[in-house]
Amino acid sequence: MADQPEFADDECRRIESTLKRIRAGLNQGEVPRLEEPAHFFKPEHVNDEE
Amino acid sequence: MTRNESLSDQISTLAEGSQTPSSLAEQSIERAKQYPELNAFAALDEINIRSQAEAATQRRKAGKTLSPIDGVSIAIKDNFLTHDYPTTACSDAVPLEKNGIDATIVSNLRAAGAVIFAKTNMHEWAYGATNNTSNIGITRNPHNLDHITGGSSGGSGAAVAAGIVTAALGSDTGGSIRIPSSACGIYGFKPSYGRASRYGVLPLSWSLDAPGPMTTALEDIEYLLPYILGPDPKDYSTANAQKFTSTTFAKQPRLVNLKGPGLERSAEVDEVITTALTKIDCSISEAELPNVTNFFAAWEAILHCEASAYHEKHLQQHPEKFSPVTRAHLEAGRKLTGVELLTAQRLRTELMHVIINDLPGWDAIVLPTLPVPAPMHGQDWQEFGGRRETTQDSMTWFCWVGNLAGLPCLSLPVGKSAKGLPIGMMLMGRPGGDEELLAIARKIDFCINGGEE
Repeated sequence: MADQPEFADDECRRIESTLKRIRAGLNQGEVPRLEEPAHFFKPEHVNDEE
Repeated sequence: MTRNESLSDQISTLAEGSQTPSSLAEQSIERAKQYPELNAFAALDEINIRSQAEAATQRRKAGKTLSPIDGVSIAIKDNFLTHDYPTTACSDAVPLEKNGIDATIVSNLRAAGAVIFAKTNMHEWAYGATNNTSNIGITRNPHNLDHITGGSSGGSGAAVAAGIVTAALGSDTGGSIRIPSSACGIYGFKPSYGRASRYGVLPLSWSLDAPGPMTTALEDIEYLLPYILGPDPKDYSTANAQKFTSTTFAKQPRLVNLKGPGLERSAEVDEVITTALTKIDCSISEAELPNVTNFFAAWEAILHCEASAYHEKHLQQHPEKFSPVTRAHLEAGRKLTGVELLTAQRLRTELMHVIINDLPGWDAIVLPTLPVPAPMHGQDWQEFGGRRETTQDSMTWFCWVGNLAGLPCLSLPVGKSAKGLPIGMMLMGRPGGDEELLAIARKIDFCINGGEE
């Protein structure tokens, strides 16, 4: 694994604010129905020949 | 700008024989040279274009035309693999995918005789909506060079709006087809998730991405969808995809005009959309979309997690090759937890329920495509409807809904700002109802722009 360059201050702020916003949004308020996660792929669609 | 020649116009002139594929290709090459300041292209090979066009010209001369679009030039966003052009995603972090193959949609277009004209400039790895982060430089809006095209398919938007080509391909994860279409005053269509093959289109987010056309006229989209929609064994998500079959919409369409918290827009955009709605023969009701903040967070979490997973190996090996802003997005995705990702996917199911079941009966949902006209270069913030948002977030402000719910979406030009910048209206249809959405759009376009009903 290559050395990971340090993030500049403004990029650190960008990462933190993005995470803060997402976490606040995921947990905010009352969503009436929280059902199963969305699934787009079905096993029968997987083609062994590929 | 006056209305440019459309793909449909070119199909007619080719069929009549008043133009040949070679003469059309020369026209496009000439026009591309007239507008270098747009920076619309990542790669353009005149010899290759002339060779493809000459082959199409000979086919037409011999009466062996492959399809209506045989010999029409189409530009391709630089995240679609093309066997005759390098594919860079406009990043120094060079894609790891194998070269020398065509994306399924590109392959379909070639088989129909289309001239693959050039690769278009894009926001790095499609990971942004301004087209201001690209390793070949920013893209400029043909309506005003001081303004952005929007992105991430900004080069495709600029190339079509400038009349260099009549159609281009883009990809859309949170509006990347619709945003530049609106900002540049053209038509852009994002198919339902699972109807268009993503094979060979470099991913940003597997479960949000959809490739689609950007065109001069609405009817152009219908000419291209037969080569875009349908099952592809190389993309499992299309296993149940129907091929495109043009349809009509006999009833008076029921539109739901979404407004309310989280869906604010500038007064100027609101006025243009409201005026446009008064011109159309549809029943229109207003509704609010609840919990916009939650759903937006879900879209953003899925986007960052999937993008980070896709780029993980690349990021570990060559982190310095990504632009700082792209690497910051990827880092955010790496820090989100599995539980947070699954919470986002549960919210996604909830959004689908809300849209399909809870909104009042609808045939199409209406929103502006953008809350503001195309921003100026260097303008990092936008103010509208009492909000102050980054230009990036302003661009995806409405569009992400269609990706999170997998809906077919269309942006059509409906007016201009006081500064003469285009303003687009977005229509969203039922999942899989791409044809019905286009049929409704034809009615609306006819009333607003005088297109073909």
